[in-house]
Amino acid sequence: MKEYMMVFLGADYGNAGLSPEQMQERMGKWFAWGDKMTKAGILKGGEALTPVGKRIVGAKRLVTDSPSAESKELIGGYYTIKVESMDKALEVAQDYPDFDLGGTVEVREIMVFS
Amino acid sequence: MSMDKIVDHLFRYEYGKMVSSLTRLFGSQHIELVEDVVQDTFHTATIHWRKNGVPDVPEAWLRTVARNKSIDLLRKIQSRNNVEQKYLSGTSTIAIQEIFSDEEISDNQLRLIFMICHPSLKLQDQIIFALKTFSGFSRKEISTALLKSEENIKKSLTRAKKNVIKNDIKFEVPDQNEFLKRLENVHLVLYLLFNEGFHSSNKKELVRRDLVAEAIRLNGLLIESFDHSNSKALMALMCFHAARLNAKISDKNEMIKLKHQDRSKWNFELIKSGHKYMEEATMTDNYSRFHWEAAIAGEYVQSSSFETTNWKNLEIYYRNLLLLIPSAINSLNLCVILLQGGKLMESKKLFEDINAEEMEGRIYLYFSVGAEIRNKLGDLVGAKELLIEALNQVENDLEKNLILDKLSMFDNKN
Repeated sequence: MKEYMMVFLGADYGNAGLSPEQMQERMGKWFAWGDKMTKAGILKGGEALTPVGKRIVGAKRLVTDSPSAESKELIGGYYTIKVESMDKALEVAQDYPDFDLGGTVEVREIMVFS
Repeated sequence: MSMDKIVDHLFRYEYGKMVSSLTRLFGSQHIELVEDVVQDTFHTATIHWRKNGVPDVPEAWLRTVARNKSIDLLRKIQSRNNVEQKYLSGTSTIAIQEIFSDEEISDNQLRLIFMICHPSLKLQDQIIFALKTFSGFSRKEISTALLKSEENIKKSLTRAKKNVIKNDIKFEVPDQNEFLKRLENVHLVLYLLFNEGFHSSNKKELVRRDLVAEAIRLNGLLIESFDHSNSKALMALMCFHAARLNAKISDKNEMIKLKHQDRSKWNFELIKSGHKYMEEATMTDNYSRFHWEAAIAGEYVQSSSFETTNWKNLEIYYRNLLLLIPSAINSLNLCVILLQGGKLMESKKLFEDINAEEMEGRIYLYFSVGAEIRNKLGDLVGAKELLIEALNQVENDLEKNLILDKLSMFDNKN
């Protein structure tokens, strides 16, 4: 078994012009997905991030705002899961509800030395 | 079970759990918004179930709905906190995903009751706050149970919630330094809740089993988590009292005094539990008021008849209790015990030292006992006068009838 992090980028509902009902429906899918992973016993953890943040960049340590909510690069949060392979992790990520809004899931294996 | 009964039952058992889990996530300062969400969830459920029938696991259904609704709550709170209002992403569900996980529920319930019983809030407000927010009683139910206007209940709840914000009361069980003091407060609220159920101030309903059951349920939670001897003593007290509930009210909804109760109607399982809790509670040197009160209640259910009650033991317990809680009601009770034990003059002397004003709503008891003392002294006129005084002050219909009975006995004598 290996651990993978699914990092979620983009797909701001406000920017996509969704109605409250449409948002609610998507949220329902997110919950269902979380429940499905919990039931399968593969969900290890996760956090959601608020959209406001800062970056410190380069030798000059320049402080800038993190990408705006409209950006496809804004990280919304992550889940960590425990499955046997990258293929399996990618299969799990298929249930991410917001691909159609241009959302991105980046799947990365968590490094361990053993 | 009928639909309404199922919803009532769920309300009682799920409301506080859901409120405490959501408050854990969103913080005590948002408890009002949290309660709105939970109430709204029950509203949605009632409408939906009426149309489609109650689902197999209604608790899970409720939690799913509440979880969905809490997204709106998250948005409201984010906008209050000046988080960019327009932004909302599905990832916020990650923060809410595990909100109702079973492992956390009893911890959260404890956090809630400790938050409610914060000393900055008046005791009466704590009780109302607990009934509403922890136990899911409606304002109307609380007003019926506590004999207060709904308007007063509403004001009390507003005070309580403002107080949480004003004093920045955290949603947590306080640490070592404050824990014991706060636990004492929690015990007191449970004790009053239980008493309100056991001697209801409601004229029509002499006992409120729902209050009794709720106090016991909550105390069980405390024992499970902290294993404190005072909680166990309080539980023993509750068991001994509750054991007599079925014998306390006649078929005609009249209260039956201990002396005349059919002892075969007592719940001996509860008495047994009471003794078990008492045994554990007394494995300490520090006895609380609840230890002595439980000892008293236990003594009463010990004897097979009223006449064989061990008045000597009761006197000892009451004297110890009086040392801890020198209240008028405790003195008055000791007067009764002394009378039963044949110590008329001691009783009379103690009675004369009681500050009657302290009795407040139970002043009629003071006059009743005074009448009994006068009667034993042979002063029938004085006794009758005091009984009439008692009659003027009593609110509870059934207590009133008991006093009328006594009065009529006097009339027969004269």
